[in-house]
Amino acid sequence: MSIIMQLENVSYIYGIGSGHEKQALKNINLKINAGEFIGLVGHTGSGKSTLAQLLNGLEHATTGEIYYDGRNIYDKDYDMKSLRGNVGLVFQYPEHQLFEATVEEDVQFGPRNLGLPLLEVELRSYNALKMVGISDDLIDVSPFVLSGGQKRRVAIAGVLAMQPKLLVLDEPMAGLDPTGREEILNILRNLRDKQKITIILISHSMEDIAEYADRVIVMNKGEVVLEGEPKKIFQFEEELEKIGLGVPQSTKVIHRLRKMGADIPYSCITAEESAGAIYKWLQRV
Amino acid sequence: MKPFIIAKDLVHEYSRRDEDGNVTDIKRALDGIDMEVSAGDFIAVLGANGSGKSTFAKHLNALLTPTEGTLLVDGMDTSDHDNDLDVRCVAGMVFQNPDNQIISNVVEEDVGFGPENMGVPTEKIWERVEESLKNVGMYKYRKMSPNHLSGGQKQRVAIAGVMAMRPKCIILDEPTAMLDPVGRRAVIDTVTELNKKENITVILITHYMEEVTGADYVFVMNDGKVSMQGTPRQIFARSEELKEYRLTIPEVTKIALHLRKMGIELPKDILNEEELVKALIELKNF
Repeated sequence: MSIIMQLENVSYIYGIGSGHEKQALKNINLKINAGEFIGLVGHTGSGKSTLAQLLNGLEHATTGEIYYDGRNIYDKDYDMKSLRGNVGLVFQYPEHQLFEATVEEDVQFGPRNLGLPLLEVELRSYNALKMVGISDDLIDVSPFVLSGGQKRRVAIAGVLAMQPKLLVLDEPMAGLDPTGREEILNILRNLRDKQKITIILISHSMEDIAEYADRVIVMNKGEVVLEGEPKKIFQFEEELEKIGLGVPQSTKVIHRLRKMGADIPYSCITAEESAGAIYKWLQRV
Repeated sequence: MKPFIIAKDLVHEYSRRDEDGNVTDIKRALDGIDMEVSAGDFIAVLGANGSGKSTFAKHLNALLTPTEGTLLVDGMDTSDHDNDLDVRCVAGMVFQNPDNQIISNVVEEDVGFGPENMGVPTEKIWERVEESLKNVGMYKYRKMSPNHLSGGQKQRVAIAGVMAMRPKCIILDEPTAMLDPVGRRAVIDTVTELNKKENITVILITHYMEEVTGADYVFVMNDGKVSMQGTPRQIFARSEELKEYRLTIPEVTKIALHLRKMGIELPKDILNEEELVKALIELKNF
């Protein structure tokens, strides 16, 4: 597997020289593999959003190096503009940034600014809207008449139209109803599976992370404190709770049953897996 | 006793106007809501995005008034604008984003803002601020800047700010949508305690099914109407219907449902971890 992004000893300090310096990131070392679906978790203020902004060059690390596709993005001759195309960033409540008169124009805004030929711009926006499941009859309407979930998907399409290889999303499901959450998550899974886009999903929902992520990165106070497959990470219930997080409800049930002597593997983190394992345990005499 | 909230055929229409002020489009956000809530109840309101939950919440606080029908809050008709301030004093509102509702640089000043505006005498304000902050477990942070608090702590300060106005009812519109798991838990625990100990009527709007399991009664909204109502047990036993309304069931209830489908005889209305674990241990030992 090739490494799409690598961070070496990355630290970030806000407000240097202001007297209110705050270390947001401390000595981060990370490798992101191409095609991975990563869940990035941590309590409010743990440094997740700062990290996201470093990845696409919006902020510059105070110390340390970041490599995209093997090249140091802090090299003098590095093309930052290309990095911002390759690493798409979807902020919290991205629909607040919709502004054009029609859905199509909004999605085309990014590629048009790249100076691409009109046909290419149109093709990209058409494909991006398809990927997020916005139907053709909506492309000429004002984005402001759409539902909350549709607006969010249009905003994500705007980033996809830049054809990123790596997509970083900061709480893209916040405020959506359960079906809306699932729609966004399935879009992300499809982007990874079909378009081979690497996904870094910042979320507070351990249940969603358990269901969708290949690997979890846990942050606390600006540091990466745990890292690994969800079923490994969610064994650390107490540790996660201590740092403002938790484990999926399914995992909690399994942990409780285990404490009462039930012989069920730790590795069940979704409702379906848990039900299967509990069933087997019940059948055993 | 008369119910604390009575909505009867409540309708709300938003109208869009062109440059000349002519109405070009009307959207019916609430379409004949009938609802009664008793004083001291913990009520949850569920519903898809755009189902009318937030519009309804704004009516309870007289931020919006009925297009048709009536809404009585503590006996006051919200259609009568003379009641606006009184309605807002008995029914306080907490919104989704804590950063949009905290205005002061010091926690205790922020909490004192409401009672000060109500004309409460200064020494009484400080009494109320102290009591409210203690009630939400934020007293030790009283001298701090809200900027240094976590999302969950800020929301509890916002709740204290409402409590300092001594309301009979708190309406919370997705108060946990932006919070991490521990912040979410702290807000829900705080609200539950206010309901139990201070007998505050709670109206909680949320997309998190797990937050609803402790409520006395649940209303499900769809397309501006109340489409389902009942206790959490009754509501979450109807998973197929909830799905139609873009909702779901708590994860624990999902595990139980999967097991039932495999032929394990579990109750249909399991709501939390304790219940599921207890039922399973009983089955195993049987």
